[in-house]
Amino acid sequence: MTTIYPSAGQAPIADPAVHVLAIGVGHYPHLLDGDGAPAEKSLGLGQLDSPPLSAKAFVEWFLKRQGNCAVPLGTIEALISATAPMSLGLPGSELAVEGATRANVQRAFNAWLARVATHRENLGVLYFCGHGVMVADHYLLLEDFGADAGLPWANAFNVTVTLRAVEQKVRGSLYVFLDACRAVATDIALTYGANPPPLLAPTITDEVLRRSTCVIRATGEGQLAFGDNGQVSRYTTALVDALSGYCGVQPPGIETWNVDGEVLGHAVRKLLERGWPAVSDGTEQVSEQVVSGTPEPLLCLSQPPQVHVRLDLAPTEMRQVSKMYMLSLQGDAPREHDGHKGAYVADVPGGVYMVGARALDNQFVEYRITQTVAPPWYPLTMKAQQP
Amino acid sequence: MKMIYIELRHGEQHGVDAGPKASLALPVRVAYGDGSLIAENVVSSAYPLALSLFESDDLRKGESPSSGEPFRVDKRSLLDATDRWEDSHGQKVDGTLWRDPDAPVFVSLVGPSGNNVMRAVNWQPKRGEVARPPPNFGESEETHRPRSYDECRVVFESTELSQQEPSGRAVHRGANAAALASADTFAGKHQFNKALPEGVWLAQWRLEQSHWVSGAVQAHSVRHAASAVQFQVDLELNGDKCLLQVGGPETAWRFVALPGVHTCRVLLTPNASMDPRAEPLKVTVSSERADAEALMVFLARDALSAAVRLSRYSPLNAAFWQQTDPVAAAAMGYFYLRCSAPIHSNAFTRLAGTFPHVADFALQCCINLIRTGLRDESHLNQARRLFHECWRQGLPWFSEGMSLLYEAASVLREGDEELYRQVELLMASRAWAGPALSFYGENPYHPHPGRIHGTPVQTIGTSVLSSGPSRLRVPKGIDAAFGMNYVMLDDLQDSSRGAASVF
Repeated sequence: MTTIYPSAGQAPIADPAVHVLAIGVGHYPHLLDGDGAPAEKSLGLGQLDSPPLSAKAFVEWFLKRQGNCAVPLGTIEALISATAPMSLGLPGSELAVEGATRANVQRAFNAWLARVATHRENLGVLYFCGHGVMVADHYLLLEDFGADAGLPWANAFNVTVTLRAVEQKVRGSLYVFLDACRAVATDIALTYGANPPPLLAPTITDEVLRRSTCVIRATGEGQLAFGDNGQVSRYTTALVDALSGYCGVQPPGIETWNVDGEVLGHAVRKLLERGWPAVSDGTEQVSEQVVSGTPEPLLCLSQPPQVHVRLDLAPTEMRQVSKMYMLSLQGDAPREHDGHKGAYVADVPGGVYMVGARALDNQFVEYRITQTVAPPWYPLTMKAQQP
Repeated sequence: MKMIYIELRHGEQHGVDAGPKASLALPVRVAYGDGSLIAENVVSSAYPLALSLFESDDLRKGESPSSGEPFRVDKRSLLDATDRWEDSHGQKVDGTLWRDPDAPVFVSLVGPSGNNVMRAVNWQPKRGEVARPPPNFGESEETHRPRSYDECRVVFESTELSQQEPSGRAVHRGANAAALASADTFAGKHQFNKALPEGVWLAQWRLEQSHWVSGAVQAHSVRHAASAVQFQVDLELNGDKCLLQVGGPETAWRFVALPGVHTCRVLLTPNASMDPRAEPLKVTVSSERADAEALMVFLARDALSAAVRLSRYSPLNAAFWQQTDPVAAAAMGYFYLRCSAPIHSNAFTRLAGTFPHVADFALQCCINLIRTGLRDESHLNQARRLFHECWRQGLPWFSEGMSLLYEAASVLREGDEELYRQVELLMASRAWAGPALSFYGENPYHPHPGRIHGTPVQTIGTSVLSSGPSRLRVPKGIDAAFGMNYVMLDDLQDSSRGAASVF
């Protein structure tokens, strides 16, 4: 495993702290187009560009924005399998990252779990990007998947059962981000003995201890997750965007804007939907989250969240003769936009706004509504009506 | 102090008495214009809610509240002062107004499907006693002292939520289970761009002596919109455990559990969702308890903050802790299992004893036992017994139960591999019907992750017919051969005992 944070020579952070384990697997030597001996059953899966880049983007977010975490950043461990070696770390202290083989992942997971379990207010963050399949449980495929013809599932792991076991060991809160497909593998569903082992098995005698668990999956049951070639995956893009100030609530009596699992899950889902118009090929992706326990925030922000806004007017020819506007009921300066420039696209602070469009010369009836412009995304196409 | 009185109207428009079972309860939030929350609570259609909000002027003891400029303090100091005021007066304050007294304030009703209705607060100055102390607001000298204060009254109609979505869950419930929603409530003002899929059929399965049997669809009443884009069916459960099966040439065969004991409402609409997983036909079931159903929808959507707020609604609590209603108690049980640490009490055991025929309670009891740790052989045996009892009693009502069923099967797998595989297949065949348990498959004994389309006499996909038209293969171990009784949706109005109506 590779310790990305704290860097060598840096003093360890005292608990409570956030402990991150990030895994990105794009290189699968035994799957299609791999450079190793082909697996007996490749499941039609091949090499991926996106996971190494996605894991890197996720880790770099924590390195840059660690001040926003609800408790200080304690450690970041990373394992990345890519066709070309990858370095990660703070500027000047980048390290070559080890590959995500089953043995490396097991070692890193054990160390991560031990750290998270040391304090009841620790936050454990687990991120995975790579191939996944499911039956009832979700199975994640590691770099050396398919290496052993006799035990084809040995180098995958059952993340569903693993998380159940982790909940018995950790008293703090868990945030789990799984950027992997969840297509149902019917040949596993209908075959005895095809059970990838967990990284840790639950013990029936142990009690569930964790305070809260938030699992946000890139896609729904039976569905695929997508990453465009050479790009950070759609899910991780949405996740990093959401974490970067595009979600949060300020509870009564609290001075910060808090990001917990419910808020984050909602934001990721909305930000994925924001990308749908660009993918009219039936690959619209819908994330899915399960939040349980008493929510503990992952982030505490000092500023209210921002909202990606897109205002437009229909029919489009009316844009030319319109002025679109947003008036915050907080008393901020009004925002105006000349319609001939096209749709109004901007980031604004969340809140209640008067939103509308008026004609330059009475070509249509003024459109005006008062609405909550809630993070992370507010699209509105106003309809111009004849006077 | 400022007061906000909030009222939720639900069912009154039907002109029938809204009994306690029909009352709807939903969270409300009071916030500033930037979304920062001032107060949260629950409003019910059974009685209005009064929220008391502390403000900086309240710190001026003994002064005339109308004199001079507002008293300005920072937020932290004001919050501390609120706590001190609560302690010294023995009264609960619902929130603190820490900003400029002229800062706009908004009240939002939080709908189960994430659809909110918002109102701006328009403060009206008053002088006199606080008009109506809220139920959670203790009597004290302060409340009777003549003083000036601002108040605002806000009224929400539950139909405002249903107008925002085509299926409208809890808000479609009438005042009692048998009452039909009025035409305007039912149709709402939502514009549908899609029609119902062609050739939809329904079948109702009942659990008889631990065996699922396909019987006639027991439609108490049927309504459909004139444009044929919505169908509403009230089904009689007669105390039985029931599954509704829907299918058609464009509609994948799937089952939906029908929660409740007496009646259950089913709403069939075209699915307006852009979700690629969405089936063209949306099936929404409503139980007799609108409050419990709202809680389950919040849980299904992982809207835990709203669920936590709603869980404090006293009729829901009474259902769980005093076993007053199985549907509401089941909803609260799922809430506790999702949102709290394992319960070290016998609450689940009592429920399983009071309602032995409801699979959800045996399951909840089993899961709570597992999560507290199966410390010895007797605990393990008890968990196994409860798990088998749940399976014997059919299936849980709610989708939350599907996950727990699988969790229990995984933990108790050793020595019970066959049952584990059945539950695993059920889990892999899971379908989405909001808070209700749902799964794809040909019959309750054969859930399948694949999709079957067509009518029972002519299917596309996995062939399931082995014994002639309209009959399904009889599962091993089932003595009585059962035929599959189904009814085409278009024919349902003729077969129902109640009057069908078109509007």
